[in-house]
Amino acid sequence: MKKFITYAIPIVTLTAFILLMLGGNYLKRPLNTSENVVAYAKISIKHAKVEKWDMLEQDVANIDFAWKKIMPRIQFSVERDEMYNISLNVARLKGSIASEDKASTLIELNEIIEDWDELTR
Amino acid sequence: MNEGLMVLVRGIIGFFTLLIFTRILGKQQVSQLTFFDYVVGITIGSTASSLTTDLTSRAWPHWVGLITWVVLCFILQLITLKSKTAEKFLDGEPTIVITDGKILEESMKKFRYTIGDLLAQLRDKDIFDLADVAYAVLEKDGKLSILKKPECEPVTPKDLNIKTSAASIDVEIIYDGSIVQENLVTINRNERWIMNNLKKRGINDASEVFLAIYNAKSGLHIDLYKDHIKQNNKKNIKE
Repeated sequence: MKKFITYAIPIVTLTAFILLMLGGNYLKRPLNTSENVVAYAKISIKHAKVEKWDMLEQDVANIDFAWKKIMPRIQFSVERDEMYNISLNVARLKGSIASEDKASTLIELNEIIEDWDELTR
Repeated sequence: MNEGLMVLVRGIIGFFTLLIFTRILGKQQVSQLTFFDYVVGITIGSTASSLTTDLTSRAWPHWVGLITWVVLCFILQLITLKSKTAEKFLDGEPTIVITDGKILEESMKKFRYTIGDLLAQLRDKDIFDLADVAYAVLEKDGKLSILKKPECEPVTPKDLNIKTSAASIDVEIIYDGSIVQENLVTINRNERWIMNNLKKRGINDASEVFLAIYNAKSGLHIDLYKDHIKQNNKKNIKE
């Protein structure tokens, strides 16, 4: 029993560490529809193309809410700068929607999707 | 995003990973540190440090780096354990630097070992005259082992034919007020024996004892929490 515990403790500890470090890919998946950053970004792209600015204001609020729910879960598995990039994208997106700038809104939304994929690559 | 929390969690990962890995590598790292072991130790420590504080990259690549170095180190340990040739090649071998009081300059040059280092290590071993040395061997870890000439060795009881009693190891019987039962069994005694001994010395309970040690040669030594040091001695210490 003692020998079993001697081997079990390090194995369990190292496994837990590995899961924590590699769990980002799993943890960034939305647990419900309100956490689906990519889905909101894709809808926003559709709205941006037809310049529905009222809908886009709601969309960016949804993206911000979803991102703030996901961020604490993945913070131990991803680079700080990658998370920082998405937060910056959201902030710039708010600005471009407020100024009704179609080009920069589309740029930021596409960048969010790219940064999201990059998070756990 | 809480950077402090991230560093805390990554620090826990780095700390316990390092602890587990150094236990796997064994005591060789500490007791027989060759120059290569030293470099490996620094690299592993540095990688663990980056894992903890470098938030600009993920923890995983650092952890993989850490495990790579540890696994390679472990494999080399196994190879040197199995093969004498590999041990010579990887760890080097001891070299004689003094024979019969004469310094072997060629051996020293080969290992870039200076005369200053040699004399310092000799002094460290209480040798101030080269002529006293029969052999000096520079070990793999850089330590100097010395065999003195027979006429320079100190006299031992064996030389004088003096009979000595066998040396024995101290066994802890009471530590921090608690009786160590398994050690009592080791010396074939029981709790009643230790309590009788305590009562003989005016001690009513084991909780008054900080440390009680049994030695087969010198008997029972008891140290109490209250040491009853004479007041005069205390004054002397303060002065």
